[in-house]
Amino acid sequence: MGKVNRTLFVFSVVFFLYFLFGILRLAPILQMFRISFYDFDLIGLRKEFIGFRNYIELFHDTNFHIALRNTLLVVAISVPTTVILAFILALFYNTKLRLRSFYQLIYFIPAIMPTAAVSLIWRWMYDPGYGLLNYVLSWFGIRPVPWLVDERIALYSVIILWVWKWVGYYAILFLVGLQNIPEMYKDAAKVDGANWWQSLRYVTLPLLKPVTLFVLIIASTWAFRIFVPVYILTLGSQGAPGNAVRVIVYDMYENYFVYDRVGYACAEGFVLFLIVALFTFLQLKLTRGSEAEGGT
Amino acid sequence: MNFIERFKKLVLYLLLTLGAAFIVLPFIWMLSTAFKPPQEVLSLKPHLIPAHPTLDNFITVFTKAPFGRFILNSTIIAVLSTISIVLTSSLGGFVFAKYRFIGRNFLFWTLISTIMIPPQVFVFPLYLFMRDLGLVDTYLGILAPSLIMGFGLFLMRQTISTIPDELLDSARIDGCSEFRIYWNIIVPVIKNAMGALGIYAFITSWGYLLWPLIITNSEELFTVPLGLAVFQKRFTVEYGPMMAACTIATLPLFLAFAIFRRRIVESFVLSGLKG
Amino acid sequence: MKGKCLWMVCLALVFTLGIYDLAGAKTVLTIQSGYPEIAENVYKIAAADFEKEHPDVTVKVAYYNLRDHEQKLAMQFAAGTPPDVVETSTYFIAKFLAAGMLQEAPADIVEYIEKNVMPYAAKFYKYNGNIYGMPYFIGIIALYYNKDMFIEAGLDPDRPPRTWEELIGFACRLAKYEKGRLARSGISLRLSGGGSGVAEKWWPFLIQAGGTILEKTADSKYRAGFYNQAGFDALDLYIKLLHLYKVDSYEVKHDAEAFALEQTAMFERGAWVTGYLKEHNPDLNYGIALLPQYKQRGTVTANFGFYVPQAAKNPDLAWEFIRFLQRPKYQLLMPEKSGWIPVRNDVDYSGVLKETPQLATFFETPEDYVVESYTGISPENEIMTKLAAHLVKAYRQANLLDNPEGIWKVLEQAAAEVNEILKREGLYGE
Repeated sequence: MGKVNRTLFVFSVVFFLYFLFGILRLAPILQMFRISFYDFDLIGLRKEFIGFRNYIELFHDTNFHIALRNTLLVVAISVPTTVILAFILALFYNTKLRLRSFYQLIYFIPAIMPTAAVSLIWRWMYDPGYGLLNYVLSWFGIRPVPWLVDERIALYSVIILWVWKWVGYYAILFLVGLQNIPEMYKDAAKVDGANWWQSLRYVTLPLLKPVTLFVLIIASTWAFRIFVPVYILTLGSQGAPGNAVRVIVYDMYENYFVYDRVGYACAEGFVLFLIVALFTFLQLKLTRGSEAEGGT
Repeated sequence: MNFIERFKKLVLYLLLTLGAAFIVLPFIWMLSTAFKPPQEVLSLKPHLIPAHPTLDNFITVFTKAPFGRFILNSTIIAVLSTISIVLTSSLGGFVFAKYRFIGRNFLFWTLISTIMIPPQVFVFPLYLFMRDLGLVDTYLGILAPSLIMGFGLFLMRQTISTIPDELLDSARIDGCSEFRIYWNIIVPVIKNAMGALGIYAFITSWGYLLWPLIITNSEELFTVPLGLAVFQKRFTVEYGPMMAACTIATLPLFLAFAIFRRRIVESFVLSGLKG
Repeated sequence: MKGKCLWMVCLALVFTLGIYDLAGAKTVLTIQSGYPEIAENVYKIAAADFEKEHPDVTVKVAYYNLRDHEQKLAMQFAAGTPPDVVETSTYFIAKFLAAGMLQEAPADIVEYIEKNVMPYAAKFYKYNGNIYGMPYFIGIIALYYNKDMFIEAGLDPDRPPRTWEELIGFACRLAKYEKGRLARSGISLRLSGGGSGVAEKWWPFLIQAGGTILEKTADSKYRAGFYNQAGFDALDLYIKLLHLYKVDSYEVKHDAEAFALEQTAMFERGAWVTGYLKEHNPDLNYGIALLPQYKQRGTVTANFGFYVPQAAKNPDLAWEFIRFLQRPKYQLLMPEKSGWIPVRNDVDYSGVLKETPQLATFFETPEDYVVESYTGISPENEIMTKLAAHLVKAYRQANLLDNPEGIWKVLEQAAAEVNEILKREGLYGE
């Protein structure tokens, strides 16, 4: 009796989920995959099947190479930075120190603000002549920094924005994980004579693995998909040059909407998907033996 | 020891405060600009306190476009979306975490893989589909893609997998139906994760621009980001009204966070486990 | 089962809202624009007046910023759900025109265009011998200059530079330095930013030097038109202005913002800046002049107008509204409120000109003034954007000064890429 109940339950939930995900995500994605083999434009003037030609062209496309390099840089720098800072913050949140809820709120504010608006504000703050950042730097006698206009710095300006936006949110995620660790384990460690650092290293961190892995995967996936800040920071005459901050999704957007090369853009989207999937898979593999794979 | 402890605390608070100042600076800037007249907005030396504070920008926001309506639309969509996402994700997370069945891993990761595709790409096929269903320019049309979230499913499954099975088994022995187990046991235990997901779902729903842009034609259905885009003129941005609009737009989000925060932070999971 | 009830209620709510029908019993005419300043100040007013004259019609004016508008239009045309009246540039509409998605203009409108619209705008609306839209406004680039700064530098405020030589000379006298750094640029150039803007702003200089970006060839195809002396001179001018005369730099503000903030003495832009200045610096004493000449005089323009898609729900009503918008009342509102220049040549603009006399320059088009616009071929945007990327990189290189080989190399690479794109699209000619 219970068995039938359970099977029914599992089946209906999975079916329902697949119904929704199928229509709203899977089907369109499969469409995208299909289109990537065509020379396709949005209004149907071109609908030629060209097999792998899009992918081959992508392989030789310098813009894509630049996009790939920039995207990898964004991920490589922003993810560890954000995650480590968030973890430290979460440790603080988990104490009984005063004002912790105040800081939780403050650090969370960037996550609440709409990304487009936030990017506009930052673009303004990055203005070489009259932006807030250079103004503050001028108090210390530092020359104005061309945050967006200099190709070497522009990408880091994007990264700073990205870290700023998400550190508070990841900290909350870590906090949730930290709170799920029963006090008794830490008490037991204390009884055994462990100090704060040892307790952290040998009790907390291992138990936090699923959450840490989760935050890492999410942070890197979102970093791979970064778009709005790049789009907004390149707008206008004070904006960053396109190639300095070109990331994959920006390149895709340009190909899809500006150049009307939909098939090509879809191929790019699929390649991005492969990269992210590979990256995620590696992350999972590297932390094998943890409770990440189901827990039961 | 007392002095070192005190000193450590001081350094800690100092660093935190510096960080907080950095974090909050753009927000303060936004508020400050919202109250500045146009001449001051474009001034040479950035100053935080407006010399001639004005409410004109806020008035412009509500008169140039039915901004109140935009906020209402965004709120309705965001609330419905959040409820749907939290429910579907937690149910799904429960099933994928605590039940064994054939192809479980494959089915799970297929769904999760949808996170890895940037939305710009599948917007068009989805639009065509909505058009065929007659859902263009409707609330349901705007809401549809936000009914589920791969990230949510992932988060819930990870969280639920840390719950000991014994809890479930004992409930089953007591004769609980599966849904009961979900509702009465799992949900209370993962309340804080649901809160974290809820706030993220709410914020994300608020921030969507591309999809509402494409699916709506009538101004009455616009969401807040679409409304904000009005202040982004051809080559320039009307910073004053836009910052005022952003300020107004962030208020509901603050409220939502304030509501969720207690759930996220204050609830203690252990009570569920100890029993 | 509390949970299930909640779920049911939510679903019910969702479905009710989904079926909620916003349109009433009236016919709904939709017009979509990418220029909020025009939509708010002109179309909305016209819509209200139109509704008064046609009580059974509701006119919905939808407007977005340009990028979003174009994105949305692309989707709408592709899905067959476009608005009744589309306001857009000849540049953007080109591919839809080629795909046969637009309606031909009715005979009375064709006649009207021939009689009442400025010829250099009208010519862009012909396709295969037929007229497909109604020109409405243009964006032509002219030279803005700050008269007070001219006076301060000992220059005649009513005598703007007329040649490149004068431009350079004036800029040198107008630039101001503080502690060895440029504090006010003599002329504000477009040096950075994503997209095609950098190439678009370089183009007028290229024209004045006798070249162009896309040259039409004998067999109606195209090729890069700047891998020549003209391209060299135009790029060389920028390099000199930046690195030799140092009248502009990367550290100062640029563009309309800079002009409004009085951080630059001169810059080149379209008429919309007048509207911007009225709001942000109404007391600025400035003038507008035709662009200075080198080997010839010339500038770039963009043409905007209305089109009626084949898939429009109310085509006749659409053309009706387009006719309605030709009334002088709205033609005058355009420059007055938004700063954009209408193309009717038979309306009395003196009222507007009295208030903003600088706008007069935009109505001038002397015989020898070459006015170029976009060709409308499909990869044009891509070509412009990629050319811009080359230019952005080149401007930064101070080592291009007194380095003709370096400059030729840049032009060669850029032209090669442009021609590659043309070849890919089958549009390359010799």
